Amino acid sequence: MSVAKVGSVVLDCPDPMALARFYAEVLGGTPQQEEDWVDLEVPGGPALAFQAAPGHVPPQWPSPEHSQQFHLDLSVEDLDTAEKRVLALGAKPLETEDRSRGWRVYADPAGHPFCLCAC
Amino acid sequence: MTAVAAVRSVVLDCPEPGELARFYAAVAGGTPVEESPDWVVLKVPDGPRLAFQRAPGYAPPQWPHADHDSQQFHLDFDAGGTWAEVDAAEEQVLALGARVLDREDDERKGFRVYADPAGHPFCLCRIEEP
Repeated sequence: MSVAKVGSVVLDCPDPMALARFYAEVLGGTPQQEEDWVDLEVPGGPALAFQAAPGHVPPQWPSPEHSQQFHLDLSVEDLDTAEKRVLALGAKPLETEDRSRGWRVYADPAGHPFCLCAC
Repeated sequence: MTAVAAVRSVVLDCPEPGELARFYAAVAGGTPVEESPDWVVLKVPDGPRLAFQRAPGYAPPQWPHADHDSQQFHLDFDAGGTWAEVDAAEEQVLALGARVLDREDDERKGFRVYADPAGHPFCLCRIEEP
């Protein structure tokens, strides 16, 4: 028997609602604010939560000293189409040069790395 | 407009993917599958797909810290609706190699904070209505 169930995956960030809106556009769902915490129930996916971290410094990538610690892998049908949309929403490319690979790395608007995977 | 993507995995950096996957399998259930020595996948039953990635030179986050040593992400676990259930879950995660980071004022906050064996903070939460 397991000890516990995963409730949420929580991301530190300077502006929880802004980052929740970004992930709501990418994954679906409606952000729900509770003080300095925003929940995002992703349809058919894990619950994400966004927590205000005063003085938040984004991870650097790739860097073990300023590690990403966690990241999200996001599945897409078509990498080029999804890339256009996440860039329009404020993501930045981190490692996208190799177009033959099935995955590319981006930073979300708070600087957390995430991957788009055609997997 | 349809969503751009679906969440495939939540990926944790760590020095020993097999070891950390076994910790989370004991906590949340599931069986770790080593896809390569550097990448171990744990599909949590009725939960997300976790993946554990070897990060050479990995330095664990410090907690609480908002600077370069920030946790960045963490997992919240539903440990049950009563403090007795949270106490039982705590006993088990400590036996599995977790350590306490913050139990102060837990009744008001509704959660306690721990570090997993690689140093990632996670919370055991008392959830009355899941």
